[in-house]
Amino acid sequence: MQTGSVNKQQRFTIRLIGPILMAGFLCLSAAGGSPAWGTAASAPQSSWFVDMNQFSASAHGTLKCEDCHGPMIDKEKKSHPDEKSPIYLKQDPKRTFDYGMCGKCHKKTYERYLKGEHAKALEKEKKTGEISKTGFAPTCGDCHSSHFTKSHVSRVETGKAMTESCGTCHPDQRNSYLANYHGKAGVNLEHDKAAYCTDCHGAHDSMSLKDTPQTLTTCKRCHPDATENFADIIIHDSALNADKKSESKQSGLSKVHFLGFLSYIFIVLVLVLFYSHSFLVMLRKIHEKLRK
Amino acid sequence: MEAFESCPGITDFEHERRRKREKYLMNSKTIVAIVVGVIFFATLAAITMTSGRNEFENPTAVASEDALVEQPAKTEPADDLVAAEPVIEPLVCLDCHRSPNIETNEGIISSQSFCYDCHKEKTCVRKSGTKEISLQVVQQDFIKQQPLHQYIACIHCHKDVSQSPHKSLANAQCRECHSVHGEKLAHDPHLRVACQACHFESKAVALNPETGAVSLANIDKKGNAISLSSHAMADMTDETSCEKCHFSKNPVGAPTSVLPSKGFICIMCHSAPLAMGHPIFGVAFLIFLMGVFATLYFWYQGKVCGEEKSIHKKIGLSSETIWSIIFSKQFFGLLKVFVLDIILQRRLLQESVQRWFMHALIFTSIFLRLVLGLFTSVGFFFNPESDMMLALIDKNYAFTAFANDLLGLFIIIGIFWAVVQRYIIKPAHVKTEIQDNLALVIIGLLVFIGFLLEAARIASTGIPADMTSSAFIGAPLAAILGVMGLDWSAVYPYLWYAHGFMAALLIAYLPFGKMRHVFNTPMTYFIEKVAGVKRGERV
Amino acid sequence: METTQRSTKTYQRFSVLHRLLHIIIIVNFTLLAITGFLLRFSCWDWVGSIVALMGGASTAGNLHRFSAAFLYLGILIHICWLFYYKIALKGRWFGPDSLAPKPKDFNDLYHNLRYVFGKGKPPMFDRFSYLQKVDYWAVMLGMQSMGITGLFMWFPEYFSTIVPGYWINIANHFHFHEAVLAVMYIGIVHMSDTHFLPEVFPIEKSIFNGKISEERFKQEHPEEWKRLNPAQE
Repeated sequence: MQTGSVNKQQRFTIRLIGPILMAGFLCLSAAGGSPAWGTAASAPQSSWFVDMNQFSASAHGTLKCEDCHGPMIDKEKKSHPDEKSPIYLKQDPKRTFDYGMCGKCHKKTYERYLKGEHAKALEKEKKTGEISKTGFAPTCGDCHSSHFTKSHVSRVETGKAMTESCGTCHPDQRNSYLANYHGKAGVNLEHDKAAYCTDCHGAHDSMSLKDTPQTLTTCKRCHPDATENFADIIIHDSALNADKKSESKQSGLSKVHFLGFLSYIFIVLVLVLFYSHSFLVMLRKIHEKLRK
Repeated sequence: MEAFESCPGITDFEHERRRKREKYLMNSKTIVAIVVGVIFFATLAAITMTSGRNEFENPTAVASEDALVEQPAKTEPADDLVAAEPVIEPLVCLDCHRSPNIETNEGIISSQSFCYDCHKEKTCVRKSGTKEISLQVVQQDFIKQQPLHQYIACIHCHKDVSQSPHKSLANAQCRECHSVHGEKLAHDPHLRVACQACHFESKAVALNPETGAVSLANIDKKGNAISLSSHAMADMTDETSCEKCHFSKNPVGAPTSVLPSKGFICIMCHSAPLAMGHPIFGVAFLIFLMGVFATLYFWYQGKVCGEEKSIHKKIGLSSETIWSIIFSKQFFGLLKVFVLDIILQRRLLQESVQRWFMHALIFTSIFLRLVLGLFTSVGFFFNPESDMMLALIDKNYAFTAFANDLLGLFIIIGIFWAVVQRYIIKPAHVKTEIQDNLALVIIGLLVFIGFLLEAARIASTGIPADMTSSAFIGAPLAAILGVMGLDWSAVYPYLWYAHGFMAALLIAYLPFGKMRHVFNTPMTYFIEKVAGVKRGERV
Repeated sequence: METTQRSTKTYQRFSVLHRLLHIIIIVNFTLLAITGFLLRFSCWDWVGSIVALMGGASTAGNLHRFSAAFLYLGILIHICWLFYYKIALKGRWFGPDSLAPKPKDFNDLYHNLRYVFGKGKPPMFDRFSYLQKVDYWAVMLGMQSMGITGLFMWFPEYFSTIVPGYWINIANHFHFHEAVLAVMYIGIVHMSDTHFLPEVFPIEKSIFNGKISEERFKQEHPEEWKRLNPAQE
């Protein structure tokens, strides 16, 4: 072969190196996550100020303030805001607002909420005064923005929004859900046949699904042929918070991670070996060609 | 709303508000007048302290006007004020709770007055134990301290305070309008420092051990709570203001002395500003230029296109030649030489795979760092807001840390390999001269101190381990340094100057010794290409 | 076996069936990799729009399953051919023409490494070099394990009756890791062997036209050449 063809080949190699480096850079930057310094703070979730454009377009846009908040004077003729009150400017309205108000219109929903895990946690929190690791036990306002939530939102939009709102207190579960097929298809690729949080854990029931028969029932909504073992498939496949899982899932999870780790090591070793082999062979062959 | 209307205990301030509205309507009948009146009222409330009658906090004043309570307040024409809303009833809640549009002057004024309503008072305090910490912000003072920021809303910067519990978690943000300083004014460790820590007058600073971030502290050295309500700015032209962090045994892990910025010569391996940095960099560059001129002078001693005497003519003739080559077909030939022979080192590969590998470890790594540094510097100059550029100037960012450590490691391996070749294996083609040793020592020390410097930076700044894990050499080295128990923020300046000195030495040495091949060899390749010299015919 | 083409002599290296199977693998492998990684890396914004262009997640998923089935059909045809080769062609499964690993391969590897480090001559490869055998077995074994783990995730209801539920999770890990391995292996190792090496650049055509020139035959498969032309050496 003449040297001309070697040049051609090397030029081609160069054209290839650029995109590969670029791709590597992209992968790394995507894997690295967002930079650590403080980004511009976003507007607060709950604010003293109600954006009327959003409010009037929301599900509650036809309601008057007083419908939910009551008149701004209580029985002892205290005005609003009450400077003397011990919770003046100190308490999050989500902790003080009487969400029984929501039950006036959303009766069934409110009853279901009262039966669920979140309400139980709230009761416990009120009794003991202890706040759990995930934060305050959620009331209506922690998940739903009563001022801004729109009505008749599509299934996909609702699912995406709930992934975020559940994820504020359960970030590990959110991440492991998004690493699972359901999350990828449902949230990332907007496939409305995939299950979102409440499809398994129940809307407002907030079931923990530790119990296998209960889990199986939820699985069977979409997988009618599922059997008992099927409920042992781990959706939230993450070592974080594994202690909250049932024992069979915990032992399964440790095996999954061990084998997953082994296969990871395996592919890294194989690739390192073969890449260096190919690179060295390539160098030697080009060297030989250049010497001819 | 009916219930509200008939409620006998209707708040005093509401009536006062209604009375005021009616007063305005009595005085003016047109909408324009209403708007003017509202602006006047808001301005009055906001800017002059005298007319700032606070409905919330002045119950006595309202009580004196009790007679007005019974005044009928139905079908208020004041509805015009909220006419844009679909609600028929006067939504008094929204008089305060309507989200102000802080993009407009009107919204800014009304939202400012909302905040000043409480914060202008001396009684506006935060309790810290028994002590009361002032949260008072007086508008006149604020205008004096922040003459430009007086035209924006408080909640423009204090994004997350307009809620209960009424405290800021994210602090005031500046970056919606201002971009971070680049490598020149504040090199990358300062990316972790809150703007206020430098730009505000308050002297106490603190390190957040969880994020490694530095911000103004709300307790002083003795542990007493201090007020941060003053918006007075520090004089940034005064370098002593840097000594708020850069002093001996400082709490934030800053180097104990104020170091100069990187110089433009650092572009060889780092993103660098267009500044001299330290005078020694300038001196090094001058020596470098002198060396280049000396070399050129030496070259022009010879004949150029037949001309023997006039240097002026020689320069003219040679530049003519270069010009005509660049703008001819030959340019592509030169481009090929550049890519294949210079970047990919084809000729060295032809000589020996082993020599190519060793040289590539050093050369390609430095070259890639140069490319990365140039890309970062230029990119940051044009787009300092882009996430990618911010990531690239941050040496703790996963990609940047990994790339820098990996390429540094390659250089060290290359140098080590060269040393082994030269002193242990000693093949026939290697003739060791003092120049070779010097080049190896300078580059080797430069990179080695660089790694030490990185480790000392990680060890002293107290960045959490998970943020530095990508610096796969710097982080373990930092752990080792940490065990040694030295105060690395005190050692850091010495290391920095040592690294800078080695860099200056390398630059100054480039045109003289062995390192001259960086220019000579490519030049030779180009000339050979132009002159059509075949390989092996070289003199 | 021998055919003459113009002046240079060429030899038949791959039959039509093998060339066809290779094309089936290329097409389906690419489709599988694209659709699979689009799902895996769907957290990136731009992936969503590409999947939407493909017709949504369900279409992409169906394409993935279809390609998998098609690819495995190719593997099955190949296995059938193996029996045909053994029985009808009287070939030997462990003969010099086969892809079965032999002690010679390790010897070749040793010599090739010596050659790479400049300490000797390149080894005398037979019909298939050791790297070509690795290529073959990577696909052959990889497709079995990708197939099984893929089936686990395709029919979790059925498989969870046979094995514990968490095996589906294990299958998921293996499926992804092996997909990464396959793509990165093919992308660099196989590509460099068949596209970027100086003697084959820009493309090794023999898997498409089945032919190899005499010159390259002698150079790259000297052992086989010797075996076929004992007189000429």
